[in-house]
Amino acid sequence: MTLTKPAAPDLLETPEWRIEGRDKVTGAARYAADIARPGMLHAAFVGSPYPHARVVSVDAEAARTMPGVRAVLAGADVRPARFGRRLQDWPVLAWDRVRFIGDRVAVVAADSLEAAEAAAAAVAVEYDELPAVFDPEAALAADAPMLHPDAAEYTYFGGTRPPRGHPNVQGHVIHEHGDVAVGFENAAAVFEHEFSVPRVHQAYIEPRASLVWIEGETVHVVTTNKAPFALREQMAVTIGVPAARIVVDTPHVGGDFGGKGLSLDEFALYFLARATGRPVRSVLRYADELQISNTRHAARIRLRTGVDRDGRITAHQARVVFDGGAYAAGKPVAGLLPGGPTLTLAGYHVPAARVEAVAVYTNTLPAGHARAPSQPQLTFAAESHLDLIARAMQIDPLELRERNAIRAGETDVDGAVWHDSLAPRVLATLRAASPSGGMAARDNGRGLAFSARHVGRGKTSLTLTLAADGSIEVLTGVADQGGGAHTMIQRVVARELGIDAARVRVRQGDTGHANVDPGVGGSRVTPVAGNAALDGARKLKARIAELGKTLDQAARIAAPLVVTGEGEQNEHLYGVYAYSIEVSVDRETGSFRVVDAVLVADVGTVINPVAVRGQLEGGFVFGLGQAVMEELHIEDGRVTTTNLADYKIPTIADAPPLRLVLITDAPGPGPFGAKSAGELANPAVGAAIANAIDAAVGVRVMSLPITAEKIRSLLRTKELRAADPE
Amino acid sequence: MTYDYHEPETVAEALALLALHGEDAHLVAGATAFTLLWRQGLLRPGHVIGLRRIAALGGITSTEGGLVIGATVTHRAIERAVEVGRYCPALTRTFASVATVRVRNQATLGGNLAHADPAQDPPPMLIALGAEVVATSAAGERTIPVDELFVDVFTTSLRADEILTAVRCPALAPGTRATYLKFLPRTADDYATVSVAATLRLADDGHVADVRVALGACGPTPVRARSVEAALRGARPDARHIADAAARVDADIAPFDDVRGSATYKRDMARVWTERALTELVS
Amino acid sequence: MKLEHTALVRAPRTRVWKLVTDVPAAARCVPGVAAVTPSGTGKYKGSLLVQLGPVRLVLDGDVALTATDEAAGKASVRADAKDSRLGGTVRATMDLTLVDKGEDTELRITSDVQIAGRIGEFGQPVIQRKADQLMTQFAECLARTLA
Ligand SMILES: Cc1cc2nc3c(=O)[nH]c(=O)nc-3n(C[C@H](O)[C@H](O)[C@H](O)COP(=O)(O)OP(=O)(O)OC[C@H]3O[C@@H](n4cnc5c(N)ncnc54)[C@H](O)[C@@H]3O)c2cc1C
Repeated sequence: MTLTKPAAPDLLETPEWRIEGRDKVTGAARYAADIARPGMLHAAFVGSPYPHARVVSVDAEAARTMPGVRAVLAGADVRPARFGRRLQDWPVLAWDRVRFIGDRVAVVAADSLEAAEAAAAAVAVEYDELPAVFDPEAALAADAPMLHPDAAEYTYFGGTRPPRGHPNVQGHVIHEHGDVAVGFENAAAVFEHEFSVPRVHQAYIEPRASLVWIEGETVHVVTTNKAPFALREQMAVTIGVPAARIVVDTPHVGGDFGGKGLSLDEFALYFLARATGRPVRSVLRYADELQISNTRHAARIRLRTGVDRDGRITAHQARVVFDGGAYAAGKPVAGLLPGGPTLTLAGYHVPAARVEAVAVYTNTLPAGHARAPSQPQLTFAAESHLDLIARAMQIDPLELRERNAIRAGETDVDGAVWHDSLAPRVLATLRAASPSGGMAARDNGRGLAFSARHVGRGKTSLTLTLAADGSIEVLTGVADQGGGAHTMIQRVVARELGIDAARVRVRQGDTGHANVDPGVGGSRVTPVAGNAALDGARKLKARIAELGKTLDQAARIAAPLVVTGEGEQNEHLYGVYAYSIEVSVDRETGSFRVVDAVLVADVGTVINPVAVRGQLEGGFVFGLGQAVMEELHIEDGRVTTTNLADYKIPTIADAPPLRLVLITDAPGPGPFGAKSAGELANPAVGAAIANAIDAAVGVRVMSLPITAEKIRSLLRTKELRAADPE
Repeated sequence: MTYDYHEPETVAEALALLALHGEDAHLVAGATAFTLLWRQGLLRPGHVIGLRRIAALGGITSTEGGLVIGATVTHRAIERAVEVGRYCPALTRTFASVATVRVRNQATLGGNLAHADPAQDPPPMLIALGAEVVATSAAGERTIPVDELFVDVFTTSLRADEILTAVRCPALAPGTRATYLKFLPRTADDYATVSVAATLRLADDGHVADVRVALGACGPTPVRARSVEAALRGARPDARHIADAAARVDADIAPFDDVRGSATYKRDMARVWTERALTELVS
Repeated sequence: MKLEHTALVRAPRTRVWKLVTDVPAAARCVPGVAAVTPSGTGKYKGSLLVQLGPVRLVLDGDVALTATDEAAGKASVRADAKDSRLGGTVRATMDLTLVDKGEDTELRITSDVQIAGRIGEFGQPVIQRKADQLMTQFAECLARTLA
């Protein structure tokens, strides 16, 4: 049998053709907002103008009688429906209390969007303002306004909600290992620094959109949600309809970056569809994306680390306070914190650590998941902190990292023992790839940053069907949010069967047709769905072998041949990566340019060569935006950056050159030894740039974004101090 | 929500439509600024009058060393026009620095000036060149120096019954140098944090014969930096002198905080970029 | 957003007090205010037209004197208004303090203005400027009226 022999050259080394590429570039691809149904109505919401208030009354009389209006619903009509991914704490429409500006109190369905918006503006809501709290530390005070007095009523998926020390806590965790007190006693020096990171938005191009209709007993949902099966489960609880009677369909997704796991509108649309008997659609305005959707958590991070005379870490202590906003609904993780909240020195050997992380309710827009949740915040802090330590100890920053990088058998900051570690190799590779010697210009400087990101975990399955013409159809529930998941599945199957990729079609089924899948996220798709594809291909191969035929012969005589591929990845493993970035600073203005950037990344076997580059280069630019320019400005709970002209993200003209050095020969747990790539590039950019700025002009920016104005202001203070040491 | 869209072919027809619909009418040219406000629901006119079919509002003409640019000429067309490059390369660069090619292909000169966002690029350059606009109403034409066009944020001295029909750039005295510097610390397609336009002519003996300096994003309107000009006029500028003159820009501007920088930072940057612009012009 | 304004009024404190606590009369000093009519003790209804470049807002709402202490020369006013066409709201609280300055009176106004909904999306710096302008004109007009 010739099936096992891969076609030459190896398919994995040939650049991939994206399955959806043609449809996307020709405009044929359909997104949720493109989909309409006959008789469809449009929805518009009424949001609270107050950050915290009691809803006294909602008067919808005038709105109801306006032309084209089919239904107006308020909190009383949906009570007690709340939604959320892990904790359902967000009312579909607030009935007694609003908790942030924009929190919804009523919704209108009308024949046109304009009619719906006009009616929404005519809904009269009476509020009774309550004291609001915007600062997470203040929200933890004993006498702080309480946001969720009814927390006991909330549904929490997966057991009982962990106990909390304060009613404004969303999630709280303390990790401790080793003897921290002794570690600090033995330290030659102890350093303590505090960093802060603001709210940022995922800034995908496609805003959330959804369409809901009811056909007989079945609720149909078309959505931008990247985890359709999870949405089905959440929705079943929220609207009180069994999951088996809800079908969720996610068409092409126009970017996600972690944000699209939370749905906002679908639940209210269900109640409108029920009230009117018509399909109802809503497309979020981008202004609302920036004001009410789940952003990355702002964080204040205090790190304290003891080192011996050689700079080796003896003990570490940290406190991380995440601003969770008004609802915890966007967080899918059991602890109701952004994932990996205690990785305050990821990728290093830390013999003793005590790390506390808390996410807190405030009267601001909710925070949820964003590409590599919590890592950009923590890596900015950790890698700035280590650089400051290296500077103070007069140790070369790369040297300091090499001394502390975790090795096989050592314990990391989370108390986990690494059985294998590529950390030293990644740093050695970075050393080789970074130019040595002096800088090209006086105000240039080079900074580095190193970190680790887990390889995704989870479980999924998909079906493979061999058709009579010898083609194979893979039916999967994995939505492709732009990362190339479907192409990856195609190539894994094709390579294992030794056939041309074009013979494998990948079809995404809605929740009524495909097998259950946990959804895109957590760097999970390649190691988990990829393993399922590989397992399916192997099972198919085994069936063909049992028949004693070639694939084509088997197809002719036994089609359709159907197998289920199952994939699971539970190993606790990390991909490590490191940046070296050179900047050139204009002292007079504080502005700077990245003149060189190198990223060394441990990605395992590459399945989609173009997509891996795309993930790393795209992740770099994504990280750059959040490092140097992105910030949702929030004043007294109100977002003031309400459009993409004020909230700027980098354009292609702003993308500096990036040199990529991939380590691909250390196999991971995914198909053919693949690991994950999607979240390796963005978290460390901020620290590498802050470190480079310090190396260039000797000032230290302790908060993101690293703006020209901050640098200029630090330089000015320094100049003034130099001029007048008093 | 809809509106009636009118496409007159002459200025007279457009003026008649304006008179007929009064406050319920809104002019558009490239509609880049209009559409944003309309989509946000901030503008709800019943009648929209499109100007781009009016042939008389198009075209760029050279006139005895000067230039007349029609109101509906796009930014891109100005950026690419040979006449404009010949007249003043800095004017070409000014238009090339606006937003992105996509916006420049659509946005017009008249729309830019009438929109009156204080962070826009062309206004300070046109002020530094001493340009004026032609405003036409049923009563006839009047000219307004660009310097006097801007009243407040998004507000000009054009009357509701007037259409901006053209911009006239005067002939520049031989030896006049010009520059436009746009400070963009965030992205390449952003509005300026501050911007500086300047024209300068040195007499044969090295004294400053003429100088005009204008800044964008430094207050509710683009501003002329008269204190800076006064400090330079008649002087023989060296580096010290330029630095001192640039420092006087503080008296000319009234910046406020925005996402591109605090008022304090803008003041500091106005000085730095004024100094850079002047240094470039005397070197 | 918090704003501070001060104006020197060439009139004794008692006269200034009478004017600032007479809501309809004081409101005449806010450019763009249309009718202000009583709607209960210390409460009024009114409307304000604000022009922001090409954008025109019509704010209808309630104004109330929420606290007065003549001896201390302190009064507080609260306004809640809505543009029902655009669906935006404006809420303002103003604390007025009158201080004797010989024959004259210094009027200090501390205001906190919150703008939500679509109007707030117009651009905060612009709105802030407009609110500041209105308050400046208000203070100047009061001074003029009594001079
Ligand atoms: C994404 C984006 C980025 C931008 N970045 C920049 C930038 O970096 N620098 C910069 O300078 N500008 C920038 N702009 C602003 C841009 O320059 C203006 O939107 C544009 O110039 C307006 O021209 P228009 O022809 O599209 O005007 P329109 O939108 O058609 O009209 C704008 C206003 O002017 C009035 N008007 C138009 N023509 C006339 C006329 N002939 N007579 C009287 N009134 C008239 C209209 O009634 C309307 O109120 C940006 C705009 C966008 C959308």
